[in-house]
Amino acid sequence: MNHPVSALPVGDGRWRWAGVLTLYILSGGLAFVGLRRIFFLSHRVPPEESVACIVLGVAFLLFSAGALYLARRLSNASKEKRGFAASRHATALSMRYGVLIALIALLLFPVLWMLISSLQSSHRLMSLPPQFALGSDSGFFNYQKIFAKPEYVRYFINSFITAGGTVLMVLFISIPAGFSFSRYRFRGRNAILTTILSVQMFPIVVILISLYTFYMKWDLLNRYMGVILADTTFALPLAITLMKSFFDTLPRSLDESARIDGAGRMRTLIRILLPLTLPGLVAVGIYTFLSAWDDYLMSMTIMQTNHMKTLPVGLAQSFLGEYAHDYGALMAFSMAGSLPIVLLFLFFQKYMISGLTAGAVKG
Amino acid sequence: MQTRAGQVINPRSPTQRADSLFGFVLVLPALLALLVVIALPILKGIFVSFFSYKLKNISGSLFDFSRLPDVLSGKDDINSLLTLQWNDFANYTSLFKRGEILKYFGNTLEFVILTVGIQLILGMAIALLLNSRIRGCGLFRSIMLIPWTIPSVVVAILWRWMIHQDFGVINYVAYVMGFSEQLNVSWQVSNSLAMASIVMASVWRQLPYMMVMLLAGLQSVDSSLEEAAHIDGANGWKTFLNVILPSIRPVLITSTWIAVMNNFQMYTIIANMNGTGAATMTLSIAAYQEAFKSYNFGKGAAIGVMWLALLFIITLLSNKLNDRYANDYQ
Repeated sequence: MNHPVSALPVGDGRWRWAGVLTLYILSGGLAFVGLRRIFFLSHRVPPEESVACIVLGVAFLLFSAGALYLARRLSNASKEKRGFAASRHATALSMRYGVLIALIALLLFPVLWMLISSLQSSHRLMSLPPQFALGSDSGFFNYQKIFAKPEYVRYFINSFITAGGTVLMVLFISIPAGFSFSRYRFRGRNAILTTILSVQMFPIVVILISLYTFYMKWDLLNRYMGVILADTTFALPLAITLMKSFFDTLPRSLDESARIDGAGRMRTLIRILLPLTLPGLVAVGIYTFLSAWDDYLMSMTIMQTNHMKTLPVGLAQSFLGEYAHDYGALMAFSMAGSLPIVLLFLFFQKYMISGLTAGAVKG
Repeated sequence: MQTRAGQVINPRSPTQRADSLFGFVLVLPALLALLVVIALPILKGIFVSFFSYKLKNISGSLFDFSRLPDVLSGKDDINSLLTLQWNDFANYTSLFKRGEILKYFGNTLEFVILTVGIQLILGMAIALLLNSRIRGCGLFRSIMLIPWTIPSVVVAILWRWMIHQDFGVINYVAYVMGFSEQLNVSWQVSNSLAMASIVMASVWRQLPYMMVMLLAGLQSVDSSLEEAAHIDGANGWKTFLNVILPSIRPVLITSTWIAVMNNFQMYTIIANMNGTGAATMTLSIAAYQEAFKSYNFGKGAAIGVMWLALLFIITLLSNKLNDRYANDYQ
């Protein structure tokens, strides 16, 4: 520990990558500023200042080289202890984190932009260069404008009813089906399973054309039940696959001991197996809620009267009509429409991710 | 007397017969829903695609059974049972005559291949990055999944705002960085830019899901295989091609297949970003347009039947391909 490099402030191996990364970024930034001064700005400034400009640029380049040296040195700090591979490790690790952080910034930027835009006044929105900062005239007025209208609140309620109803119905159908596919064999079982899985191939638009005429006859247009039925059917294939894979993970000895204790088949499912698949149920429920909340095509076709429209349809409609150029209000509406679902996801993300990937990994 | 999946069951045992009946009954609600919402409409769709089926027809039924006695007694032709008018495949011929359908196919395939291809490559790159002994992998993964939860309509409107001709932030950044010569670019005027905009928005929403799937696959790869390859002197790229890729083949195929199917269906993002612009007129947009805007349900259904035929061919091809590679690796 009395080696000179250990005197560097960021000596701890666990966070060394962060120091290395900061130094690399600093070095890159300084090099950029320096080169810009030498090759670009020196032509723009008055001739008598151009020499000073170039000198300043060279100074920046020197600082950059210094930062680069420090980065290399810090990254090699453990060379004596763990050999050559370890010294490269800190640099590689810092690069990986750098790329990851940049990727996250890139992926989340649209969401951030939606949030910023929803808080801006139209004066600040319609300006170049785009305003990233909030000003004194920014605030929640766009949200107030949206929620002051009763029909927009109605869209939210409709979306909650259809998505919630779909979740209940999907669980009600997919639990027994998944249980059956996991535990019982009957004639046509594989054919039925294949059919259910191939459903997602069929073009929804085409199904809607005829479904619309059927719904007309059955009086299901403009009814929650109509959308719930359609949403349920399209969510079923994945829900059944997931439920089956969750039941597959439970040992059969559970069923048998329940049977020996005198429990019937239904009782075994409800009392013994269902509580154990609770994480799976949550995953299926949330996934279904997400896809039902996202549904646009089916609710647009089935819900024609204004007070039955769901959120995505209402949003698209106001985008084409009332708020066509009021992007602040549109972004506030979009933000409010995404927030419930993002919060739901963040809250249950642990179950969601394990549930989503469970089916796929098994193939 | 165990009822175990994977075992051939002797159907004569009464308990087992009751078991299989019970199993079937449990699946019945799902089958019923599929029958009502998928099977019936598909069959009816195929049927009406051969007839003139427009706004005046849709409220009535397809058959007029009050004429059944006349037909049975030979007074009337069997065709008089139908309330629809046969139109000599006019729905299909009109699609082919002007070459519309080929354009729709082309646009759909272009959109699907670009969207799935880009998210597959980027998703794999990010998944490999996250899989390489990174601290906080779970946190990064959860944060990256946020775009996937944003509703499609919101995605379309948000991206439309970001590529707004006058005040779009992407136009501004592209101009400042020097990617674009002019500041006020209209993404809807040029065909390739219109396609690029819907591909960008779709990839942004779908990439996280693809990444999480592939990451789950990568995490299930046996690390001793990688070590063995390393000891045998394989470099990173060779290990990836010959060890990792074959190990995650099932995940790769499942997630690619799901992505292809979803993007074939894609309506929301395309319709809300570019409306019915010619460059982004895919099968789903065209079918919806014919049926619910022009009220020519027969022609809309005909587009759907062509679409089904295309999907059928793709499924056959991919199954063939799949079989061949499965044999290669086994």
